[in-house]
Amino acid sequence: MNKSLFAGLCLVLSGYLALAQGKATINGYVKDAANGEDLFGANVLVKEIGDGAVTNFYGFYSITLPPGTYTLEYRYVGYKTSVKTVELQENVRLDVEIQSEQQQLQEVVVTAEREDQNVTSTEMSVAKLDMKTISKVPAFAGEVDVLRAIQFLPGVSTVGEGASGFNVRGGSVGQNLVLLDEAPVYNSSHLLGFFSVFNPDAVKDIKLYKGGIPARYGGRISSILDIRMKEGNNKSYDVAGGVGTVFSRLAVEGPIKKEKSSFIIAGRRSYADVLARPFTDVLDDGAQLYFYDLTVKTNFDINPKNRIFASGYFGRDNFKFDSRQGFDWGNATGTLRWNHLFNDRLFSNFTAFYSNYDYSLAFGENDLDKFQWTSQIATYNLKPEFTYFINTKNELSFGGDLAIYQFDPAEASAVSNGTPIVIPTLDRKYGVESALYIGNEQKFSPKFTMNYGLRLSSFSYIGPGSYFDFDSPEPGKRKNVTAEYQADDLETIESYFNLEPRASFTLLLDPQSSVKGSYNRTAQYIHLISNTVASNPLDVWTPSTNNIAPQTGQQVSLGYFRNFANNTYEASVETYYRGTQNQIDYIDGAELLINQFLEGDLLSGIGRAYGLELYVQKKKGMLNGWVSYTLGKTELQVDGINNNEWYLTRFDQTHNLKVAAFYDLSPKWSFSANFSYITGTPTTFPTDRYEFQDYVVPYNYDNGRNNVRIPDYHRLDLGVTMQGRTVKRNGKPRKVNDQYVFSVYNVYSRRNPFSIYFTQGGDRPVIGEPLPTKAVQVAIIGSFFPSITYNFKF
Amino acid sequence: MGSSIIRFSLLSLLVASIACEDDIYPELASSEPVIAVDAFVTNQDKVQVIKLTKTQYYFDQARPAGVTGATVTIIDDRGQVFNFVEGSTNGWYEWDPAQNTDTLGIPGVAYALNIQAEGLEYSATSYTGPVPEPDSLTFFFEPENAFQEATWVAELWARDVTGLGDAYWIKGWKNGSYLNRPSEILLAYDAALGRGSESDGLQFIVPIRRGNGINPEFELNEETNKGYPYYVDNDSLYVEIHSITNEAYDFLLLMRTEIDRPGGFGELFAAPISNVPTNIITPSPDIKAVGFFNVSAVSSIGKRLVVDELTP
Repeated sequence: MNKSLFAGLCLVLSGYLALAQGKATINGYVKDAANGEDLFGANVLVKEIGDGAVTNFYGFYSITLPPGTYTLEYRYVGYKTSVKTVELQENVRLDVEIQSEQQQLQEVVVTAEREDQNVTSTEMSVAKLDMKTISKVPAFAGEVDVLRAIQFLPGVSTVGEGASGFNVRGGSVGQNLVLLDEAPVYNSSHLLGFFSVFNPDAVKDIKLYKGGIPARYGGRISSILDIRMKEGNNKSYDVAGGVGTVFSRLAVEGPIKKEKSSFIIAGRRSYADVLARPFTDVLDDGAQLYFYDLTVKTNFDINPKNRIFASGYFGRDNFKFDSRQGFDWGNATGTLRWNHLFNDRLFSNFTAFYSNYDYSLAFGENDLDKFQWTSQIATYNLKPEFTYFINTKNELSFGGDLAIYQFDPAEASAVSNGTPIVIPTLDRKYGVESALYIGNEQKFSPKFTMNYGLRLSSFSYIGPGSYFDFDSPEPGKRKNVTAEYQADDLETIESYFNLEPRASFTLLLDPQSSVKGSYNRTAQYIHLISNTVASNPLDVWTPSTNNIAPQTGQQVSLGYFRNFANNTYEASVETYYRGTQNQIDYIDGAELLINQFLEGDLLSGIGRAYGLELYVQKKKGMLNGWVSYTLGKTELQVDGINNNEWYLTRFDQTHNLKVAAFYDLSPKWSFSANFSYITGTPTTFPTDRYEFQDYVVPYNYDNGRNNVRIPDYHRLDLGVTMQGRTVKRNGKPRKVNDQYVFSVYNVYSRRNPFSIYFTQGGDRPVIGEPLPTKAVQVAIIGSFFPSITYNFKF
Repeated sequence: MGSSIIRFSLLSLLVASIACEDDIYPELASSEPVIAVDAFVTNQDKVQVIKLTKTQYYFDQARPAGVTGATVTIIDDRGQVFNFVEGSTNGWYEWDPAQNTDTLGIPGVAYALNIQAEGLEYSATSYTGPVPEPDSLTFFFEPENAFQEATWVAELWARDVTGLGDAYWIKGWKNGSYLNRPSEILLAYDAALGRGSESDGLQFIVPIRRGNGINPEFELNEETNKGYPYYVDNDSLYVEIHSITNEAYDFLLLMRTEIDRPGGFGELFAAPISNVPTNIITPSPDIKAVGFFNVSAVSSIGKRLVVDELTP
């Protein structure tokens, strides 16, 4: 299979090469003039042919044309258009730096940027946010937050405050691939989901693929969130930071060798514990309650054909009850990238990366009696990628991906009265995931563009380790081990293959509107095991095995995009349908944490999700912002649950309305407001009670699942930003650029329910007396939450 | 194990938390009453009771209606028949060992329950597992700390019976009062907390040895904002260990999950609501029943805390 794919690839390539005879290529990087950051997604328009190219992730473009004289326009939203004239006789290298509008506030600027991007680009079901937009959305505690911001887009949701991760188009949290400079981040949340692990000071841009996932991505069936870190200013030193209610930030960036290499180093730490220390003795016994993270990146321009990037992330959350007891978790990632130009049109990028997520719990006051437990997943990846800029009509990308996984589901140790207890450290599990892909973006006519590709992925569950056969009891009951086997080193226990076709098209109806459609099939070989109301840091990842089949999904989507009033308004309507196989659910009473027979507690079923997404954005004027609305449904059908009938997932939300509004009153004052209205998430209520051994046990007569909803969620947040003075008293410009952000989260103090539970109450029952019963509605944030943040940059 | 640690750790979070709870009484879906069988009997020398009641609307706070006029018998695998006769309380069926020569709850013996009620026949089976004799009860002193007033903490010293897969329900009485809060349901699987641990034949490990159920649940003293002492001088403690089947262990574990809710931030880690299993077999799948049948062997130990004897 792989051989024939490669042969086909060569054939296609050689054909294109023959076609390209007698032409010459213009290529280069498009960068921000202020700091040398690559600009990804910038348009390069060749005026003479009315066509051009878009820069890739690294800001690189390549256009092949017949010899002649051409006028090239470099356009990027929020930047001044730059025009270059080129005498094209032979290949030309043209690196261009364009200026941000912000830097020329004093001038009157008429920009001709490509404002109709959302209509014309081939991408659909993609949300691209730059930090400028993200930073406008005030999040919890006044902190700018990447994951909070994307939840304001259609099709993206979360189960509630305190939930880790996010849900996309009816997918579960574990079905999103979150990439930080290519490295997967297994848990994207700090402080149980209140903040994301991504330091906004170090993030350049983010792109969320909800559908139409290009062939270069794979491994999850719901969405891809691609987060790119800044390279660091290669012209001058910048220091940026902030002091907030919950944590403080500091980022330093600058050139190592001017215009050749740069670095950025950014850190954050929360200090609720530091602030609380004087007021409570709770923290005196070594108790801790904080998180921190550190993000670093550096890059070197070796020569015009070679660039190297190295980046890393390290973050940790600590909740310690005292110096010996508590739990902590964190991610670590490292990425090494090499951009290499084989020739003027063949761009390559080789990435090697590492990612690790682990947590540990400790319990017990002394060494004679203690319990410790750690869990970990580590990945080592190699990812060669090539882009071949064939001509202005075709851009071919191909490459591969190789990942080695190591799962440590639970390493536990206990000592009881000085005697060590062997809690079987669950066998380490190993897996190898590999993929080959090829994709092409082809402009069939000025009005019709297609992006199509194919990804072949495979996964092997390999030894060493023990593996099991299970019996097949009636659906919904625990499966018992019938045989245990021992696999040797590197022995393949089970292998899976999947062909993943991908396609999307754009049909321009007129310059202001287009129709777009996409289809993708995706496969997922590793699974997030989570059976709580919301995902949390203790969830473990587990590979596909001889008993757990890979999850697969297919999604079709169709959308209409239109801009109004000279691109002042941007609007879109998208619909999607997603069908999924081998979805994981759990038997009642499943033991998911330290259980070597975990597979026996898992159930498998199918899923479906469909919806309608509406989006209107006003991009210009003092009042700007957007409204996004999603009408959706997401269900599962698993034998043994809900009497084998379809049931709603816990993250099903019928209506999800988000409004973000910004009002720029003056250069000094700006205001923001955002509002969310979300249908309450489904849950299960009992119908009856019975007494057993003088306890009250809840009972659901129909044995249904997720048959009711908690009350709807709605919330309003307000923010005010006051820019610091830009000039000193003596009229000279201030070096420091600073601002104060005042914000109030949950302005009208709504106690938005997170969950509802049923209980006989906490009072000690009196034997012989009737036992009380009640339901309790839990709000994680039960009041308004004001905050002040001071941000600075110099 | 997990949940107790998490709750412990989350205590610190709660300090800074702004989570809040409201009691509500939402309307629940309609249903039909079904029979509830409470048949945990033991080898103890006291009247054994099997309670037959009906399920009722969840927010109905009245005592459940008893099922009267039923025939309730247990038969063991040696052919012994134990007839439970209707007592003075509606729905209670009793068997008094003082009136009989047979013994119920002999380790190694299998038992079958048969119920004829309201024209229908229900059945269930159980097996009596071995139970270890406790070695001792001890108390150790814990000085006052940030969370807790100075207290004595009780420990149960007992060694799991050799052989994989023994399960126990440990019950405690403080000063004669049964520790009957949902969080005080203390279960052991071998000497530890679940099937995963290879703890066969060991001393009960710490979370069990001094678990909730032997010590009362943490209870906040509003005045000091710290936990009340678990035991003070002259308190008494009586502990029973009941052997239970693996199925009964699963039943009680899930029952505890359902009725001992963490609340507050702990709900982030809470498992979803589901029905507790039953081992009661009904005449047809259309007829539902809830509850459980188990025959335990029981061992016990008691002690009074006399501080003078402990601190020379």
